[in-house]
Order: sequence, then structure tokens, then C-alpha cells
Amino acid sequence: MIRHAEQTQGLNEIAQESEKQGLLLMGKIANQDRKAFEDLYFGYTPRIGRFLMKLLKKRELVDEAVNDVMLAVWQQAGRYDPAQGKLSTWLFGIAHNKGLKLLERQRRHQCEETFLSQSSPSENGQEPSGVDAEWIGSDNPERTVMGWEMGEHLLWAMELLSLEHRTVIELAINEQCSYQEIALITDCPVNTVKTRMFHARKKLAELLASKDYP
Amino acid sequence: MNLKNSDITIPVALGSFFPQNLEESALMNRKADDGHGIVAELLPWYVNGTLGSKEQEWVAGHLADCPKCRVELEQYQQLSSVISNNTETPDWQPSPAHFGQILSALDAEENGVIRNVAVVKKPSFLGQCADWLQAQAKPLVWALALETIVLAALVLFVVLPRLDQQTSGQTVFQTLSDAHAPTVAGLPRVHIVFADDIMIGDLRLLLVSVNARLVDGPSKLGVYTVELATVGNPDATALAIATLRKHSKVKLAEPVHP
Ligand SMILES: [Zn+2]
Repeated sequence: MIRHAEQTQGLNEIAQESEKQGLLLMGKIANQDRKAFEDLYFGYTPRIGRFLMKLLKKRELVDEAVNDVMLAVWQQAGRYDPAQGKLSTWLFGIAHNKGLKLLERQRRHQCEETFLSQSSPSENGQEPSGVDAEWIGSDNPERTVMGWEMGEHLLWAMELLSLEHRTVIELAINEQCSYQEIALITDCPVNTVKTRMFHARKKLAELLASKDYP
Repeated sequence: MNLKNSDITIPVALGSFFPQNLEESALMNRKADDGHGIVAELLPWYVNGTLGSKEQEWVAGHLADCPKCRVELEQYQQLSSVISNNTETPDWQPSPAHFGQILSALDAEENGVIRNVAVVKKPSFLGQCADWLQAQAKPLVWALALETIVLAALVLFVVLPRLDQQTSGQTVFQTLSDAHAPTVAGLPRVHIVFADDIMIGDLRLLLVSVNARLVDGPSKLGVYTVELATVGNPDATALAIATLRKHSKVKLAEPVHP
């Protein structure tokens, strides 16, 4: 887990090279180069999409959010300043912002629907709400290794975390972001990031303990 | 997903997953606790290798001397590996089709669709749409919705003449999915809206492939009219319209009702 110096050196070089490439692309995009725009799309959206999928859960919503992110990139490419952080951090920040807006819109829709139908299928908070059917129903062979119960419980517990807690966990664990990067992405102070992460872990532990995981 | 305790088999190896001493090393006591609290706070970034070299060294030094924090490190590593190995979330992948949608939204935005809609004189509904759209603070967020609305508005515009023709006392409901309505006298006509970046060569190829020719357009809304050489053959007309609709540079293709 703790990287050797040589390894770190190698990784740094790769990272620097990829930042250079990204910067080059952004320069071209700022000059309305659609080929560069396409390269950026195929190069960077797999990670952005994966992160958004964790937040938004539904492919259609992620399609829309990535769309919003890319349009923002097209219009604001000239404003990207590498001195402020990595390109991926900048992109994650936009993605986080667009994702939150879509979630807010969806929440408003759901409120209206609930109001109209006077019933909500997941009011007690015990069911993971808004999860794609394919997510739960899938016959995923990979989920046997750790025991699929754990996978389902983790999923359930993650669902019950607040959005802020879930976001910081995703960014730290699945996207390997530093706490400074998470602060930039979520637009909050570094101490808040650390505190959120701490409470998110604690909350996860409590939830899983309630399901008999000691 | 209904979770009942009776359904659960607890894997033994997972027993020590979660930090039991997290509470006692709480952040509030960080000064009094010889650094355990700070380590607890920094562990996630120590584990993902993103701490600065000073912090990294400091945490490593503390861990070397502190069995309590080493236990916590181990527990966090396990949690972290379960979360990163969690394959329950379906993946999202970029695709040429999705990128195509992005380009269309971008074109719509750059070609000032909002202004075009506002130019239309006749139906006040369109004016209202435009006003509403312009009232939105962030056109960016609405780019996709905007395109959908503009297309919907075009559809309305295209069917309006038909509605105008309805005789009093006899309401005619003509749905847009009616695939064909060939004229008796003339050739069947289709209203088409092309993507803005369609090349003239592609346009010609497309028209030749469905045996159609341009007879009118563009209107103020950018609608072209083409004539199909499929008179008296509804199946061929439907097929031609389907081919037009399938083309990536065709935004809308609707039969013109006589
Ligand atoms: Zn310690």
C-alpha cells in the first residue's frame, strides 16, 4: 500500500505526461477544435461517468450529466488554469456540480410525484431508493468472492449515507483523490473533507454493525 | 432488496472490518491523544498514497510505534478494498452515439436556436417557449431540454397546417406516428430538419438513396421539404421515411399531410 520511491517516481512521470497532454487538449478546445474535444471526451469521461454513476445511479441521468460537463468544457476550456489543480480535478468539480443539480431536479420531481400519488414506496428509508433494477437484479459472477451478502449490505449502507459522505468516500477510495483535490471538487474546506470522511467511515461501521457485522 | 438478519451469513474474515476505536480517537481529542486522532483522520489518504511527503512520513512514523493505529489502518484497508472491489454499480462508458448527442446539443447552442425560435411569428406558444427558455439563468443546463423542446415545437409547426384544415364539427386527430399519407394527385412529401453540420455530399447521397428530391426550404425554422417518388406505395413511403429518420444528420422527418 505504501509505495516505494521508484514506483512513485515512475507514476509521477506518467501523471505529468498525462497532465501535459490534457493541457494541450484544453488549449485546442479553447480554439474550438472538435477533434480535441472528442479526444477529451473518450479520454476523461470513463472516470467521470463512473463517479457520476455512483452519485446518480441511472444511466440516463449520467448521460445527461456528462453532456452538461462536456458543454461546460467546450465553453469554459479557456478558463482552465493548471496552477489551480489537475485537469481531472477540474473536470470532477464540474461533474460534481452538474450531478448535484440533476439530483436536485430529480428530488423535486419525486416530491411532486409523491404529492400527487400520496404514497412513496421507500419512505421508511430501509430500502435503497432510486437504484437501477439492473444493479440489484444482476447475476454478477464477480460478487461471489467477498460473499455477495457483504456486497449487498455495503450497497445498502452506502445508500443510507448522506450524499456528502458518499461523495467523499467515492472520491477517496475509488478515484484516489487527495483531500486537497476533494476539497476543490466539492468546493469546501480541507478540514470539512477530513471530518466528512471520518464520519462517513463511522456511519458505515455503525450501519454494518446493525446488520450483525461486529 | 429486503434485508433480514436471518438471511445473512457472516463471513468470518469480515469480523474485524470496522474500526472499533474510531470513537475514542475522535477528532475532538486530537491534541490530547498523542496524534492518534490525526492519524485516524489522515488514514484514507495515507492508504490511497496521496498525502504530501511530510504527512506521509509523519503518519508512517506514528504507525510504526502505535499498535492501536495499526489495527485501525488494517481495518480501513479492508473497508477500502471492499468498496473498491464492489462491482454492484453498473458501469458507464462513453460512446460515439452519446458523443454525437453532445455535438448536436453544442450545435443547437452555437447556432442560437433560442433566437430562431423567437423569430417565428405565428404560434404564440413558440414565443412562450422562447421566453421561458431565455428566462432560465443557465442555458447550458438546458441545452438538451432545449433541443427537445425546439424539435417538439417544430413538430407542432409542421402539423399546424393540418389542424388548420379541420372542418368545423369534425375533429381530426392525426398523430405524428402515422407513417405515411401519400397524396392522391401528387407525390408524397416529407418535412425534414437536417443537422447543421450535414455536408452537401451526404445530403445528396441520402436523397438519392431514398429516391427523393428537394422541393422547398429552408423555412425560417430550417425545415426542408422533399418529394418521394413512391406514389401509391405506402410501404415504400414508410421505408423511405424510416431511412431518413435513421440518418445521423436528420433531426426530424415528418410526412406532410395533404
Ligand atoms: Zn496511534
